[in-house]
Amino acid sequence: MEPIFPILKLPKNVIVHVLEGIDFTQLLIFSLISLKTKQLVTSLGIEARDVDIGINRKISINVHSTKSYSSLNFYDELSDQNELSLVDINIPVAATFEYLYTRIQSPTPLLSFNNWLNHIRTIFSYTKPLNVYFREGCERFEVQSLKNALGNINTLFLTGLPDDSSRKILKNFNAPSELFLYRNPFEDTCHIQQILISNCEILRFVDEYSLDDMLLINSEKVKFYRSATQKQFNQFLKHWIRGSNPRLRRMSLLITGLVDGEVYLKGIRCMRMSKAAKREIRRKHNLSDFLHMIQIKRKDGTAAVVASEKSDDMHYVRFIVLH
Amino acid sequence: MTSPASSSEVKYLIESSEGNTFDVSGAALRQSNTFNAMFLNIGADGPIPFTDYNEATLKKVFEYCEHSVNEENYSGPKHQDDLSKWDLNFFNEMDQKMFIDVINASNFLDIERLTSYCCERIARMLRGKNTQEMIKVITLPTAEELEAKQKVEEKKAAAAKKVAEKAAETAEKTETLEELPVQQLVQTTRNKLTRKYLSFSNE
Repeated sequence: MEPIFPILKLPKNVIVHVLEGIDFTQLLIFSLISLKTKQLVTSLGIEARDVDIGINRKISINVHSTKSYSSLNFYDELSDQNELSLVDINIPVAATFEYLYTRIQSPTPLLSFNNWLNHIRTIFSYTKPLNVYFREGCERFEVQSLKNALGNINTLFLTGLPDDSSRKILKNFNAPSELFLYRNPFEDTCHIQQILISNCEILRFVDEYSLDDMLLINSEKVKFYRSATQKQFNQFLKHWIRGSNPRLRRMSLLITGLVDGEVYLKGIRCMRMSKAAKREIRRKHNLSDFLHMIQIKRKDGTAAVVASEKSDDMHYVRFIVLH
Repeated sequence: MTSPASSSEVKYLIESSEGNTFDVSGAALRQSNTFNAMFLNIGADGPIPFTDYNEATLKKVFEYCEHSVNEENYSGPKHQDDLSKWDLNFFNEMDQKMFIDVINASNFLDIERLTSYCCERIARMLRGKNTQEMIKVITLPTAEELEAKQKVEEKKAAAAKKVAEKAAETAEKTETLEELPVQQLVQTTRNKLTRKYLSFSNE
């Protein structure tokens, strides 16, 4: 027989003491029982550090605090894996909770996805924009409804999606601080360039890119996962010296074609750096001791470091603008 | 006998809600931060009144304090599996009412170790539960029960309203009757009876 205990009749400080002894997920479940339990959990003052939304065949809300995390899953009913039934996220739904190796199914309460989010934002005092990860299968959910529920977002992560879905998502979630784009979903180059020119702080791009694409980028930090040629990077550096990409602070990429010799710095005036200066940059940017570094300067006097590490026939390059 | 606690041999008299007194060692009492704040430095004249709690509860609480006098300093709540056999027996032999009384008394007396162990036992009841199971544990009424309760209350309110209306009506009639002189009252009653008689005749 389950134990029964009238916890809510205890003094508030005792209830708070009890709640401090249960994990993040159980707190979340406890907060859903009544308005009073919601207020009690809110009064603990636990702040979420990040709230990530994963959208594929199901939707997950992952809440991270400084000490722990909790995961809630929605629409993860087992159905024919080949069949992607459309889901209206405005219809109230129950959640499944996951914590470490525990999975707790809770048939109540039934809330709309928007209300689930509001509940989490309230009890964990989370007001920042969310990080949203779209993956294969997310086509089940209507993008406009998701946009209405999620609002402005911090990170937008797109991978493994049909081009049509990617385009819809990029159109609706058009101003993230950080964008991860696995594949260019546009046929026309001007459309992808509109994405690259947007001023998100961090851009991670996995698909092919041209010199023009590089020069249009308006982000502070960029990571290219595909390689550039030595010539392409050399031309980029020459444009940067003349004043292109004024917002750029850091870029990482791979350079191939080293069998013909290292020509990516050809025609560029490079300055040697002192050991102390190199050590400071390694410390500040968390770089390995094996990176080779040279310094360049643009016409307005801004300095940058090209740090590279050779591996087989390619260079792993970090371009760091110094303030 | 009461005196400032300078040695663990000193005994203090405690008074319960029933007015009964019993003694507790200074060492045991000093686990209570409430006692430390109120009496440790100034001493107490006569029994210390903890009269919000009954004798059985206070004896149980101080039984725990006496037992843990020689344990090392408290360093945060222990996991249930780490509790000693004595601790487990102490908790297991209490019924729920006594357990609640002990938590409340321990909370008032601010006995950190005992309060923490009690809270840990309650927290265990919540672990691994979904919302419905938690509702059962904390004996919160379900939606159906709330609805049923509301219906009963509505019925009660309606019945109470009827009674109140009837009472008001009766009071009004009584008032009217009281205001009439005796002769007029006799006449009013006669008229009523006549109307009643006529209505029967018409049938």
